[in-house]
Amino acid sequence: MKLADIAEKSGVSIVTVSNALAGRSGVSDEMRARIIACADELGYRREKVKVEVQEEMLYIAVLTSEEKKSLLGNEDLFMGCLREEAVRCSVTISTGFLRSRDNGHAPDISWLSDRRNIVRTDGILVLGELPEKSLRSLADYYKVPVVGYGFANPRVNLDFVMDDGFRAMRRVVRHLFELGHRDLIYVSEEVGHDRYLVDRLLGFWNALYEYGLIESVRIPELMRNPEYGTETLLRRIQEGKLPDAVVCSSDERAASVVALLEGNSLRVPGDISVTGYRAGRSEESGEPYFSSCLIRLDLHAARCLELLRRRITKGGSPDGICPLENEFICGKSTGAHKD
Amino acid sequence: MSKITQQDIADALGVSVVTVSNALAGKRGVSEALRDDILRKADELGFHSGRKKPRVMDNYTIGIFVSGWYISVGTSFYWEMYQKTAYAASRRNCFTILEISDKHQKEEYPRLLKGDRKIDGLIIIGRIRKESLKKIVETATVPVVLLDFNDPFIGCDSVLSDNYSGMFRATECLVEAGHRQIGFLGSFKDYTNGMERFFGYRKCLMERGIEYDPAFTFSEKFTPSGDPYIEVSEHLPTAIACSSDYLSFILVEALLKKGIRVPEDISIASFDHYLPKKLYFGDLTTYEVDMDKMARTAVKRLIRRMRGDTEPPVTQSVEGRIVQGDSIRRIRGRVDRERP
Repeated sequence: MKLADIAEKSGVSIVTVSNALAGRSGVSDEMRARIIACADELGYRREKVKVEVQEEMLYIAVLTSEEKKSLLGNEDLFMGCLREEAVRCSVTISTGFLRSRDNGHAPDISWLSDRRNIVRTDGILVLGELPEKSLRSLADYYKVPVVGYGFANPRVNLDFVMDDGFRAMRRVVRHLFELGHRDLIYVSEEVGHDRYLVDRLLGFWNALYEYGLIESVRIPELMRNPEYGTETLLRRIQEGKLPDAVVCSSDERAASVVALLEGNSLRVPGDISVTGYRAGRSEESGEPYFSSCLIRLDLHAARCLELLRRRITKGGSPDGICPLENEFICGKSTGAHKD
Repeated sequence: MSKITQQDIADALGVSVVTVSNALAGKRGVSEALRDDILRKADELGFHSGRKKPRVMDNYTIGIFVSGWYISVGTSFYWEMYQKTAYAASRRNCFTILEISDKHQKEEYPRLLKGDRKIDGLIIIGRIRKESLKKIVETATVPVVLLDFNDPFIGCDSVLSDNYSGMFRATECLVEAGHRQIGFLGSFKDYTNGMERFFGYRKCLMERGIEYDPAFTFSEKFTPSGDPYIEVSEHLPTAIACSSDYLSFILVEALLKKGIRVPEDISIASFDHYLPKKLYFGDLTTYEVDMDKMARTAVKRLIRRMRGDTEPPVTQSVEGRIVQGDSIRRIRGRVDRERP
């Protein structure tokens, strides 16, 4: 019994039968199923049939910069998601640390090929901040696609994947707006220069304008920063002018806000709603306490690998910064506005 | 001469037709050496790969609706956006019908959606009144995609230029050149693109540790006849981030009247890469919106919807690039916070 027999029975070419049974690309799912069914009927040896399409195995080096922890403490969670995703999409991961050097040479990753089970490196994923010079030399020297996660440097022509904190805040404000809240306060960690915290703060202000919660000022000289922070919240409580809701830059911050409110005999969400922001690995089961923006690290990991695969197999010039949207999860900490 | 087939190549090399097919298609299962042999033999025998998978023919008819305000007044940015959208649509085998709304009509509702001219989808280019948009989205029986604007209250697919990170990058150019006193000129009427660009400017200042001075933020004023002008104050920063080339143009003229020259006396970074006229000093350093990609993305999104995609509405922003010009002067000075 030959492939030619199966081909005749299923009405396709020998080439198609061969590709279908070997799990190669180029055969539609229905066609593959039909061919396998015909093969079964003719008694073709089943063990030889690979039902799932296998993509070519890619070898990705994931390099974490020692310079700065810029994923706000989520590195471990992200790595976990990355490993899971790698198994799912035929990627082998090797990891290491990057100690960037100021002399402009590429960071030393020769150790990568020293390990016995490292076949090669098809692409590099950089986690965390890396100086411009090191980034450039990394890409130029190793001549493989490089994707950065958790940071971006617009002056280097690479792909960067990041959480879109700026637009995320729009969802939060929309959620609160739909619940009837109009007077919102923002509470954050020390913003400083941290790009994630800057994006979230500015995203919140932008959303206030978008939803008309702050009047657009026609004379911009009168534009002032909305007041924000724990001190502002405290003052408002003391003055008896409670805001409708408190938007926080993280779940940790939200927890301390709840503690502060409860310490002042205020109920959440009964008297005041609170929202947070966190990273997680997948759709969460059960109802979480905080209504938050959820950074889906599993989707981010998948996106990084998918992007690398595309650059490695198809090439194409880098797209620059790719901010990824996150989700908004409704929890128990927000409720309808009561007059 | 009869056509050379893959079987001929297979016979010549003593391998199976399956191997030849996979080799030519770049699939796995063929060693590099053998692939080279096959390719060389194919060339030698004059093999032409006639195998082309026919694309699914879309042949949709897409309506394009643009407000008359954009087409008759100001720059031809929206004409070009329309052009690129029509082109992108025709690349995907779709037809387009253009409708320009009457700017004097209070309600902007496309005739394309009423009556018997059948369209399969609608792209709206440029912001229209919120009430009009609401009515369109609620009553349209075909999918709608918004191009170059969106509305946070109305759930609809939209494609935007990246105002936030674009203006951030434009402002970064000024900081890179050593400026620390940087102002902002933008349109603040209602909620427009200008607002997001303002925040992009703020992002740059915050990340670089530069203090924001509200006195340096200003916008255009209007004469009684509706012409825009800019009041140049006495106390000016060393650089200005401007939210559009159009405004930059007016600014440059206003500055010249006061004897202030660009870039010698003041530097400008702008947005759009769409100037009505050439300036006396050369070109503006500006963030260029990738109109081609925006148009393509909008058409692609609409086709997906027309094919039946029911995912929740999506807002996509399209990255552009900085176009270097002559409007920024490097100034020497201590760099406060080194950006790696």
